[in-house]
Amino acid sequence: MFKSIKFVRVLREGWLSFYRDKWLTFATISVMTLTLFLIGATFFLWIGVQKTVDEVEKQINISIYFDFDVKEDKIKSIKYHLENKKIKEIKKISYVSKEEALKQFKEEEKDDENMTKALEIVGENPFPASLEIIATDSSYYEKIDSFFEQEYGDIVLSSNYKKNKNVISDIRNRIAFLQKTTFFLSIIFFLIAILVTFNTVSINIYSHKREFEIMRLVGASNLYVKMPVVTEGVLYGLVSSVTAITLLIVTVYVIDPFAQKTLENAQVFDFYKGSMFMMAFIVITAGILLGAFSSYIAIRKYLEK
Amino acid sequence: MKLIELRNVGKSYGEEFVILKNINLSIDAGEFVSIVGASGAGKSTLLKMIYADEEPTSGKIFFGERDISTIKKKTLPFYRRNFGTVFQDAKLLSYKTIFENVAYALEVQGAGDEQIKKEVPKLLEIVGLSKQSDKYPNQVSGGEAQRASLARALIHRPRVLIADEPTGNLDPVSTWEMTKLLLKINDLGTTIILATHDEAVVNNIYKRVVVIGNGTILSDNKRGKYSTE
Repeated sequence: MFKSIKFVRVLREGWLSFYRDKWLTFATISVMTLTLFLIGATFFLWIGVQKTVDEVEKQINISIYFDFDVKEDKIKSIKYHLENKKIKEIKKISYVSKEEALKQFKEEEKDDENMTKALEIVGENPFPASLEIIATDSSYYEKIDSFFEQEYGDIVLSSNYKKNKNVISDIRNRIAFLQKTTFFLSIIFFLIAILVTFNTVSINIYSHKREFEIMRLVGASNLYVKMPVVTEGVLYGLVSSVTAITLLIVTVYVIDPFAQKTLENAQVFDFYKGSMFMMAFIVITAGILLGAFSSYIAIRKYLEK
Repeated sequence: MKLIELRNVGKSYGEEFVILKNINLSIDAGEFVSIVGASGAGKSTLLKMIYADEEPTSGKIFFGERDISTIKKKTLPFYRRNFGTVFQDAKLLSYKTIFENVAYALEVQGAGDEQIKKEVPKLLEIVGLSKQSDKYPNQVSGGEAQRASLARALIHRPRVLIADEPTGNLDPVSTWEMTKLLLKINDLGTTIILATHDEAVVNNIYKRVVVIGNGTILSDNKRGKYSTE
């Protein structure tokens, strides 16, 4: 059993090793900070992409137009029926009456005189009532459109899905491409971070290899040699992650005014504010795990005898 | 009482590099054995095999009744605690003071702080390093570093002290001091295996001398002298 007295000594040895060789510690922490910064930045990139995708997807919807003679109650009952069935493909259904449709049109086209004149010529409200549907995923729109065609074909006048199909499909392709690219970039960045950290910690440990030989010679068990090194790795990870988090926050803070000027009032700092704790958690966890595992793996070869 | 026994022990690296062959050697508890021979004769390899830092290619080594090849890797550190080791270079941890270096050998075995505070100064006094206890290895002379290494090797009261060319880097005065210390330790009951090619040291000790050459034992005298001529 690993006695508590040994545990305290292991921590002390780890701290001593971390503290004594300041240049080596500085070099290791610098490299680890950069890699953890990369991990944090990748997380922000991922969040940014995800939020943008969510925003874009919110803008996509389709409208199912009903025949002019279909009563409001009938359409609303369809709405309630679908809402009660809790269909997983449908996120939100809104009823848009003829009057609301006209109002919206007028609002949108208020600057276009031709449209206003055209409306006056028609005389009566030319807009049918509709159900505006937002899907849980943009890939479901085709299915939803087919569903209305099959189930309510006799009362459905038309839908704007076919008209918007190419636009939706184009947006979907772009979103998928963006998500895949971000995913692969994240994996590549993460692998780079692992390799760089492992190599840095390995070099650090290599410089102490003579000490491990001495420790073994005086009868130190492998665990007693290993644990201070792992403790040292954890300390590297902890200090580096705190530095990386600080750098990331400062970077976002510094970018904020520039982004507001160039990206139409983009509030970068506010945008990421809600994700700061998650980012800090990820970076600290990654730092500690990378430091500990790199040290653990790197020291093993010196303890094989 | 037989403490260490080597039976037909050989060590080679591939077929070309045969370091030792058919070594049969028995060392009793409390003995002082000088293993002598020219550089590259295989003295250090022989010592390393005894404290299980190297494995023999052939033959068996026994410590007491135990065949050391049966010791599991995990428990090797416990086996090594039967030995104290001193080398040509003192092998001190540069970031620890002389006191901390000596204490470290006790720490790894789980000794309490009280025991460390009591025993380390005592041993440092025996090897004449009381005034140097707070200094770092780079602040003391070669002879002092070597005596610190000796204190570290002895602090946990090992059954065997293995000294591999401990006087190799020392001036004549320090060499003589070291030799006297080794004899004193042996008088107190610790078995000592000394590897050296220093004629003066071996002849001053005037105890058992095992001469190694061409990978085998050339002679083994109970009270021997050694001459390189």
